Amino acid sequence: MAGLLVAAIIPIVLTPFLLHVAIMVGLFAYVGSAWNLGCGYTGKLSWGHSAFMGLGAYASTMLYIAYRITPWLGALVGTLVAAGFGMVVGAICFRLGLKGHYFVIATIALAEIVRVSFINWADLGGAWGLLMPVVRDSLYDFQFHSTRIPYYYIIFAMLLGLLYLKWRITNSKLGYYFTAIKDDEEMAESLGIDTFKYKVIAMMISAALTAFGGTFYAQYVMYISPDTVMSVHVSTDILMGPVVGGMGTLLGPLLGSAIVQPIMELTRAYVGRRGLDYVVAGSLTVAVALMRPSGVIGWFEKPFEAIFASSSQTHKEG
Amino acid sequence: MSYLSSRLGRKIEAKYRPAGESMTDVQLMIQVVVSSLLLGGIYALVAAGFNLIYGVMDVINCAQADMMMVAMYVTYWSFALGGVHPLLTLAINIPLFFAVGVLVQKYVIDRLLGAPLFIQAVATIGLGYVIQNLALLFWKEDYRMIMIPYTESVLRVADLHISLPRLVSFVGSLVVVASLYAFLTKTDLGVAIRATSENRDASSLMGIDVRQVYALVFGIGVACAGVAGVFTSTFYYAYPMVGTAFLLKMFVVVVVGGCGNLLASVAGGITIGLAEGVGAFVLGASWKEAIYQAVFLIVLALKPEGIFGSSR
Repeated sequence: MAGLLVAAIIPIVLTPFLLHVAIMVGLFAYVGSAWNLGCGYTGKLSWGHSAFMGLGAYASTMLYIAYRITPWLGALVGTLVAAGFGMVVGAICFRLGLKGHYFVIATIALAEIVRVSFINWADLGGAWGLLMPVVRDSLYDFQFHSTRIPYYYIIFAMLLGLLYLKWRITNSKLGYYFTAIKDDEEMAESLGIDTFKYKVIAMMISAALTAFGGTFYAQYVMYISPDTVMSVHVSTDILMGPVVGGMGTLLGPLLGSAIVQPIMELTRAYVGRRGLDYVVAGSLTVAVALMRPSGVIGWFEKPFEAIFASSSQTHKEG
Repeated sequence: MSYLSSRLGRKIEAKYRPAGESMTDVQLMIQVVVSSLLLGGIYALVAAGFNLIYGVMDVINCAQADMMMVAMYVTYWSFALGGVHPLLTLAINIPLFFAVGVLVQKYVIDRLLGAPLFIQAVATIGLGYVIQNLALLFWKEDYRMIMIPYTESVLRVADLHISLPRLVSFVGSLVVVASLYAFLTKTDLGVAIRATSENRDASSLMGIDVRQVYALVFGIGVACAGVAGVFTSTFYYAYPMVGTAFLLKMFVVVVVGGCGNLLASVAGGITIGLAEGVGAFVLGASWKEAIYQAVFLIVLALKPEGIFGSSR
């Protein structure tokens, strides 16, 4: 609870730059958790989540530019589109029974096909991308220029909502199916669980949530293009948090993102030469993969569990 | 070929058709096929090292393409600073990249053996990120190309225009892959490598030092990237992110050809080269990345062991 309180008060005391860092931590913790939700549940690792993020970003931005539909509604459309595409990805990959490297590469391939299609889609700006028209601050337009604090609270709320959703799913019948599939797929199948169906559902949930993160990104950065929201590098950025923090854990993506993003933003701001940010982040990822493949969350497990235990108790009381 | 009348078609036509000369559509198509075929040979070499490492060690080296990028820069700088002809850089690159491979195996890959697939991928992608961004840090984003008469020379064979560096690279790549194949099948060391790839524990019991075999294989695999970098830099730009495009292609070539089989990766390379070249000709160049990914998915659906591979 104390952690929540600190997180709620902190933006008021931060400088604009540190606020930006905090927002990036929030965004990548959010999309990292969304990624973790699908991949943690199915035990299959997607390297194509950039497509979902990009679909979310494009859906809301396009609807806003063309019809001035509020990005909040656009985000809803984006999540539906991404869920649909997630169904396609899941259906293809799981129906073919892809395993190991094949699954990873197939997800990259599908995401690349989406990216190239958007590059060739002239009505959506093609390779140049889309620039969000600048208007006055308002929640309806999802734009805040005088201060970035609203962005912070929005991503903070999105992250909390995602964690809550994950907690609810884990304790539902759906969650039990997911756990059974992850632990032993053949056993689950023999018990009468339609594993194909539930794996596709997990992928769809993960895709839809990632797309919402895409909308947030588009509203925050105000510019999107196939290469900035759909390239393989975006997928890597998404999964760096969960990998460093701890895949398949509730708070791993948050922790990982809180480690990786500040390091990258600070090297970007204070060293100023392009490249060093990813040299540092890449080295960190290699180091974690070599020395602590389960993620650094293990070192923090006890304090984190204490926080989560108290917050989950609050849910039960409420 | 009605699409040639479209705007896009004309653009591609202008790219392939030399100015001031007229070519029939059939000739144009042959030209495209020949160019793509030559490119496919290079893809085969790029993928061969990756495939060897994957086949023997069961490790996917996602940094392979970035090592090739470094090799392109070594070639470029040897030329730009020392005036060395790009092909002579082979003498530097082969030992250099072999040594790099052995060191990477010893300090990074060795600790990943037996780790879950994703951890391997993350570690080698991370390594690739580091290499890529070090290149960005030191050499900036500029596109660098070696401009000498050799890299610009074109052969004319019966109305066809064949770029000499591409032809040399194609032949060179096939020679490298063929000698690698001969090495694996005809020498004792090669047999030891293949035995290790079949069954690590049994070969270890038979007295093969598995760790040394792995060091050798990784060294050879990375040296392939070193050679591929030399060839590629004679007809393509070097820039820090050049590896990403090649990495994706490498995955696809290996899977389409057949995993762990060197000759299959030649077939895979040529298939992808052709699919990309002809596809770009028909649909437009900006679609080419989607075309080979689509070919990949189709192969995965119909024949997951690869067109030319046997199931392993």
